[in-house]
Amino acid sequence: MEPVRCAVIGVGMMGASHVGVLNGLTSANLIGCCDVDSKSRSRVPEGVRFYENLEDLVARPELEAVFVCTPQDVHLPVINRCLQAGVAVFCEKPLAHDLASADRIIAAAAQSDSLLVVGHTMRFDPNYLEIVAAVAAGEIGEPVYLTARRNVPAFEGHMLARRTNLPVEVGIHDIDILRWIGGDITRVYAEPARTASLGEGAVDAVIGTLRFASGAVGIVEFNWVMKSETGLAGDYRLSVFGTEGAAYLEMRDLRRRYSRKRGCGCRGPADKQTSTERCRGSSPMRTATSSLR
Amino acid sequence: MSGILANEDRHFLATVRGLRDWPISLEDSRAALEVALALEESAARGEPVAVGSSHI
Repeated sequence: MEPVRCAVIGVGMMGASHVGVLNGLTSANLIGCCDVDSKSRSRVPEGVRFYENLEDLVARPELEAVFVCTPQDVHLPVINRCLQAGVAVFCEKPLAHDLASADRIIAAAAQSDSLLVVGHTMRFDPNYLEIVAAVAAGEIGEPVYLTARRNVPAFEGHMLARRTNLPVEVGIHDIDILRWIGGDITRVYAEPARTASLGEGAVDAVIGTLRFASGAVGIVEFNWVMKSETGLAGDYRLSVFGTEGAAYLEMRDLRRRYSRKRGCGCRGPADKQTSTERCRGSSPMRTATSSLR
Repeated sequence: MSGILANEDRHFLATVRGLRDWPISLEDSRAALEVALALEESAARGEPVAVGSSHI
């Protein structure tokens, strides 16, 4: 495959991560980076041109694709301009900061011949994909109760709490996966925690209940106040309990534990015996504990 | 995360070349955003919110 001539727009935390990846891929030819903050130049590899002005970047006739990693509230004008310029666009999640902007972006993409995609990274995580596949294959029956947890380090909260919100910035990863597995969500009920650790009025954590159109229910929990002293890079969990079994993924401190257990088909305890004693046929399909590198 | 990001970026580049399909539609991206915004609104109002009725 001929390397795609591409650029990164917005070289903050995620943009810099994409720059690092693209600079090492044989399928990419990183020809430019663009950021309104000239200090971002320090995150651009030598030999890659840096632009402070988007117009100068999209004027390059050889440009084929861009990675839009700007703050969400400028996704609309940046994506619109890139689609007009005829380049393919990868937009870091979320699509936009509000639905009106999202709808305008989608309309612009429909009018354009250029590709527009949104990067929901968990759809490329083999840990999550294995659970999605197990559910799709019917291994646990119909989902009844789904939960997801995503707790991230406090530096992200300090960086982001004033310009975005926790469900949109962090929780959307899991909301996407839960929808992929459980279908449409029709009602939510959330409770926030505000301790002023991220500033007066800022939300530290959110827990929420979900009602799916299928009748299933779910719980989500997110926080961005995990202290660095915990030593945790992230604390994530996904669980899906179905009519025939369960699947769950737990990732904490870079260690993964993953299990799927298929039910034995019995109807539960018929007398004073516990369900464990009765269900001798239950079989763990896989249990793995490993360190992620 | 860098391994997963590489998976994602590689997949996008292949999609640009017409070799792969992207695994999430714009409509699904919008739907995830809608739920996230509903959670934010519910947290602000202190009451349940029907997805699709958000004023944010």
